[in-house]
Amino acid sequence: MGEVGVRDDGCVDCSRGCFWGKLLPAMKIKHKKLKEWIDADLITAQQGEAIHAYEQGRRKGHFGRGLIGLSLFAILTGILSIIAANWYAIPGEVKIGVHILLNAGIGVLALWADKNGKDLWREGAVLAFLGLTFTLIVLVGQVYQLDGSAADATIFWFIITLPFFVLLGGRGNMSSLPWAAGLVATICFVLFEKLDLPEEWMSLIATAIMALLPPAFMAKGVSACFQKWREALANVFLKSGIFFAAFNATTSLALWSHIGSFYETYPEGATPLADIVIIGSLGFGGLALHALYHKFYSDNQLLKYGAMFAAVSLGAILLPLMLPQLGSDILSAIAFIGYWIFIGWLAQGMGKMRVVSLAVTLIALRIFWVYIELFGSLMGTGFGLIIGGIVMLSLIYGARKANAYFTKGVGGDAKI
Amino acid sequence: MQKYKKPAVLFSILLAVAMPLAGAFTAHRDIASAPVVRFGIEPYDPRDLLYGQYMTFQIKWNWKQDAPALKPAGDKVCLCVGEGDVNPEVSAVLCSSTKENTQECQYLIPGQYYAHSSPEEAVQNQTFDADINRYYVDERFGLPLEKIFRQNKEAFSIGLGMKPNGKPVVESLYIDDLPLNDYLDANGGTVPVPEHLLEQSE
Repeated sequence: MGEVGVRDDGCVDCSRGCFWGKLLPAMKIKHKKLKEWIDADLITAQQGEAIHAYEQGRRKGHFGRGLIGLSLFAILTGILSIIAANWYAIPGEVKIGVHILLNAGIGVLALWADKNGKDLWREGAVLAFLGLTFTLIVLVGQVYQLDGSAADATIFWFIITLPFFVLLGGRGNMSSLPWAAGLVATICFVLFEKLDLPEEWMSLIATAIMALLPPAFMAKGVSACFQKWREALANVFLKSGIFFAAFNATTSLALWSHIGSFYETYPEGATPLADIVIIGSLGFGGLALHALYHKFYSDNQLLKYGAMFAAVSLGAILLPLMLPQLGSDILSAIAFIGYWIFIGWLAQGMGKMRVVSLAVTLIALRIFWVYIELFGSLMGTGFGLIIGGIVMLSLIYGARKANAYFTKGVGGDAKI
Repeated sequence: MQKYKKPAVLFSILLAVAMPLAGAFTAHRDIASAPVVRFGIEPYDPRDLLYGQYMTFQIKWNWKQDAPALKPAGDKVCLCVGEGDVNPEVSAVLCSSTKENTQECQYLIPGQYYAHSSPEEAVQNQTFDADINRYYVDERFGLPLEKIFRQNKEAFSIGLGMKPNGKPVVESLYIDDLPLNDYLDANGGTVPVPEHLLEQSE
């Protein structure tokens, strides 16, 4: 135990590694993580105090602001309740007029916030403007009993809000995420409501969207121009593409043995094989062009990983559709597990330890699913349930061990 | 470039506000200027359960007794609406008919026509879908209105504004010859549902 030294500036001198010098300031710090970091010598006691003081100062006034927010929310809810209670009695023209004034006001607020560098206000106002424009369209439809479809409403909304969004939106997740969701919804509504095609064509379009939209979103998201213009929006495109690629591939592989019903929408004798090959050629051709344009990602490892992920996911989406006759429980399980081992390997290389954990968990669950498929009849009895529980516990134990092995030395916070 | 940003943003706001307003104005003008013809309606079970607060119905056309059913063979069929403002007689005619053949038609409504029976039964088995089969009502009135509608407690009809191009627009829902809002006002802002109908639902 060393001596406690006090420096000229009043801080505790811990340069000689004294115990009390570290402990005394740390005692004032209530945050568990900070204490752990000080004990592990990751930060000094003074740094810990400074972080603590900063956080305390930052939180000052939170309670007051929270109460003000709640009060405003209560007033707004009250006004909305009064309006709702008299909704039928308010003339349609008045409803539309007030709504238009509100929209214009929110639009001007977004412009003001943009000019004054109030990013949060701008993002909130852009989000509100996008939402309110849609509700205005719906309101006009209700007041005048217009018999429009969801596709009519979404495409109209998309077109008339596009210039506003291009000018002021897409600089934060708050406006980018809902807008991207609106874009996907508009595409789906328009394709499925406006195209009056035979059912096999509609199936083909659905497959093309499922297979090609995710890599297209990813490619758009990593585009240097797009990143430079609107980084937040580009990242939303990239993350949405990754999510949908993984989700669609997982679903397609998991349902491989049931995918034969896809053929049922086709006329007798016809096969979707040629259509799937065309979709695959478009997808892989696009990926090849992207790789060529970026010189096969020789100077960018992340892009290389991303392209590998997109290509394998595209294959995983299309394979069960191309070869539904091979669909069996075992093959489906092997392909599923193989796909997630690949994702785990990629994530390991990129240091994304949470994704590694997700991969290990999904693989464990898929193995458990195999057990249920193979010995499902036992599950009907209490004996079967007990064995099922023990198998599940064993799998979780094994998954934790595997997780610990994979994350060893990386310092990730991955856990199952 | 920055110099043009403010006018560009103001223009984009104007666009997003003015376009729905233009839609509302057109719809208002259509209803305000078009002559209104009223047709009785009857309950109709929707297959789409997501209609929510929309009351669904089918128009009870007053088919002309001596008019023959059509076998269109690919030609488009229109509904010939005869004289009168309330439940005028209607018959099916080919949309491509000459003016002489449609002289007695006050309006010609485009839509989907189905005749699926022998010519003798044709009048009872003709249907015409003008793509008007729902009316938006306030959430609180939806269920009670459906109840009295399905129990035939009141006479329901729909007012259609007849645009010059033939495509009708919904003007209002009528209950006992009163527009919906007037009917609600006449009943103290509620839909009077007989007690035995309320008990049925409980």
